[in-house]
Amino acid sequence: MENYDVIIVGAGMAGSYAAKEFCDAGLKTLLLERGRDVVHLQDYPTTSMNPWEFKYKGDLPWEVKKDIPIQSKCYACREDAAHFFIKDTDHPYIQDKPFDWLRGYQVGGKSIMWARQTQRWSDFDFEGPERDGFAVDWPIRYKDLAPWYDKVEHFIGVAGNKDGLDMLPDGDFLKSWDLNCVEDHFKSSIESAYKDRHVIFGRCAHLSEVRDIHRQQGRTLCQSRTLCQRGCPFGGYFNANSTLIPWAQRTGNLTLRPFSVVQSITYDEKMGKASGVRVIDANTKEEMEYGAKVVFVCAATINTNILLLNSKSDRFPNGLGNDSGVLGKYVAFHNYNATISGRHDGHLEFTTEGRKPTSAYLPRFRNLRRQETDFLRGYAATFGASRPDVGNSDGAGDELMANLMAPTQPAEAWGVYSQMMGETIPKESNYVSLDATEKDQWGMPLVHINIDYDDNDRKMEQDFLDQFSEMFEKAGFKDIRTATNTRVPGNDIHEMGGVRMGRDPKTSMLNGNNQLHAVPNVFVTDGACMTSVSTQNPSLTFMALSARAANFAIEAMKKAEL
Amino acid sequence: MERRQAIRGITILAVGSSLLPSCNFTGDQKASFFSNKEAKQIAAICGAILPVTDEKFKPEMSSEAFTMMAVEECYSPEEKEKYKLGLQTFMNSATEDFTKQGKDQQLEVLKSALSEGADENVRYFVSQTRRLILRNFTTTKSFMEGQRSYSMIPKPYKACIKIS
Ligand SMILES: Cc1cc2nc3c(=O)[nH]c(=O)nc-3n(C[C@H](O)[C@H](O)[C@H](O)COP(=O)(O)OP(=O)(O)OC[C@H]3O[C@@H](n4cnc5c(N)ncnc54)[C@H](O)[C@@H]3O)c2cc1C
Repeated sequence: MENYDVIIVGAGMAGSYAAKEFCDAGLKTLLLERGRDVVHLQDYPTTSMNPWEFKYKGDLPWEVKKDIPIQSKCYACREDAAHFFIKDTDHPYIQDKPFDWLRGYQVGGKSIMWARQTQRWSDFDFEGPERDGFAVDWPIRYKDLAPWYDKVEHFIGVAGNKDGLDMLPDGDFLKSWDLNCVEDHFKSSIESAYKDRHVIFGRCAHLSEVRDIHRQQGRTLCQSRTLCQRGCPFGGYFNANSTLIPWAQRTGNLTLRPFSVVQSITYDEKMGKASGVRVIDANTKEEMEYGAKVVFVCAATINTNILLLNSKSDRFPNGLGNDSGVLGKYVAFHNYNATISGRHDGHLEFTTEGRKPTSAYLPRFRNLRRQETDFLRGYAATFGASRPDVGNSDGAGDELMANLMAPTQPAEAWGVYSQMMGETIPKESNYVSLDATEKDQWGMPLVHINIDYDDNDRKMEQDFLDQFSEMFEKAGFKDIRTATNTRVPGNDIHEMGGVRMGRDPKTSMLNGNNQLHAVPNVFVTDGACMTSVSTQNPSLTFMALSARAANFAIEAMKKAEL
Repeated sequence: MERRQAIRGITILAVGSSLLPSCNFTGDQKASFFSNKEAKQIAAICGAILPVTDEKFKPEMSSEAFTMMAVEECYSPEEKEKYKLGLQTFMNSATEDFTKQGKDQQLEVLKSALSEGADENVRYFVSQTRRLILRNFTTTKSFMEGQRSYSMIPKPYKACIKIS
């Protein structure tokens, strides 16, 4: 059996961040990834293709579409990037309730296709469960994570402004893109009408400037192509493939093994700790075992739950570390289920030029400093105003051709749009579990997903629509339209929990250093570890937790404590 | 400066073909899902909806070839059937052969096929054909670069410019 200092399961951004830290510390690290390798630059086949070079001009052939009924619900799963999403027919799961489980099985995971929004959490988030009486208390606070946010942001590159807001702490940002004049107008209107509501430019993992650390990674300036989901030839946005994996490989300490489905974590009853992992080769189906002093589980929320639930032994008959019985439970997500749009007839003498890779953002204001509504917690929101150049495609025959050939004009009004990003409450009744008999082609039990909205979510959606209708009216926007029920859970791609952190082993799985209470040499640092979900896009926090836990493990290994 | 250097300094990988499965359909060949007669009908409709007379703007793949390929390869079996049923109803209900009609007459026929009271499948067939013709034409190199100033790397972002 091959032995390593550390085994990491999953080469997405959580696992790859941990790999970088361990490799930098000189530890022999095995990074196991169930999917294929995706090498930066080499494996982005569509990255430099023009629209006319796509055979179907953006659509997908039925041969592909029929096998991806879930993945194709993701806006990024189109002709240019569908190859980074899994084939649903190869990876079945059981939806006890409707749930879109969106996945990318490859080196880099979903970091290749993600939308790169990177907002920090604050103590309004970490203290939330304790203040509002749900889930369990987080065992950490913002101050514990702040230096790790600094470290991650510095390394990956995050563009943003220092906005000075306590609910969305500032970081070590690269310069931000600017709000356009209507976004600015909305900002002034909201900030003068309400005390605690803010419109900022969303922080995003793009190189708006290039620092030395990014040059060392071989990355350069973001060109605002807004084709990020294809992989970027400039390394202009952060993904694990351009930034973390090559860095870790250069240390000589990384062994990256694609096509390795980790089936379970092996437990040594005598030693009272994990001894390694059992792996099935995705192609040959050959079984093998690897040993390590420390195991990091970063397979992304649901797969991490599956892996722990499937790691059974005499000591842990209900899944590794599951003395409390909470494994698989208290899963939550982000409620993206309400949107609002409208028209702005002002600022018509202005327009924009070029493209920008992200949009404006309203940090949470509801129930922030005190409970003000009959639902718990609150929502953040995206906001965008745009005035595209529009052509005319009316008519038929020569008239249509003449219309198409006429120069485009800026749209007659600005379009404005916002979408909620609501915090949902982790509940025991929102859970994942393993089927007793059905297995996938790699012998892994199929997962049941039992996750749904609740009354709190419905009330929050309504509040978002009421508040934003009022804010849109105050800003003078017209023709306001609202929509709900646009998405089922999972489509937000921010599912979290099931292996939550907490102070008490009786009610949680992990301690404040992301170690399983009952098996201290196993760490979970992806979305599964999250005690609550906040409103902010979570992946920056996964990486900060990974970096923090990895450095804790490095120190503990130096002292022979692991 | 940094921007220009960045552009110069990076070799953009040449991409030969898409990763997605496709059939051997090339050029103006007819897809097998459609009979010769049907293909001719579709070509006539494409010509009527969007007559491309300027050689410079001829799409890389003709409107009818793209339309037939997209229907055959991208539509679900149900969508394909509906499209075909619409096409056949369109052909069968014509009092006169569409392919032989004059321009104005053809446009009248198409207008009525898209009107409120028209047969649902016929409406679907004509509106989908129109949609695909437009998608094909508006994504051609000559149109995007010539008429829409498309560039993969856009001008640097300006958040607010005065319209002159
Ligand atoms: C279109 C899109 C937009 C998004 N936008 C944002 C955003 O703006 N901001 C944000 O914060 N988040 C966003 N997300 C979510 C974000 O991508 C994820 O939260 C993040 O990538 C999770 O990182 P991860 O490493 O935990 O998981 P993943 O990236 O999913 O990586 C996990 C890896 O583990 C592998 N794996 C799974 N099971 C096993 C096993 N048994 N054995 C071996 N390997 C295994 C998988 O193949 C995968 O490569 C977005 C996601 C998508 C798809």
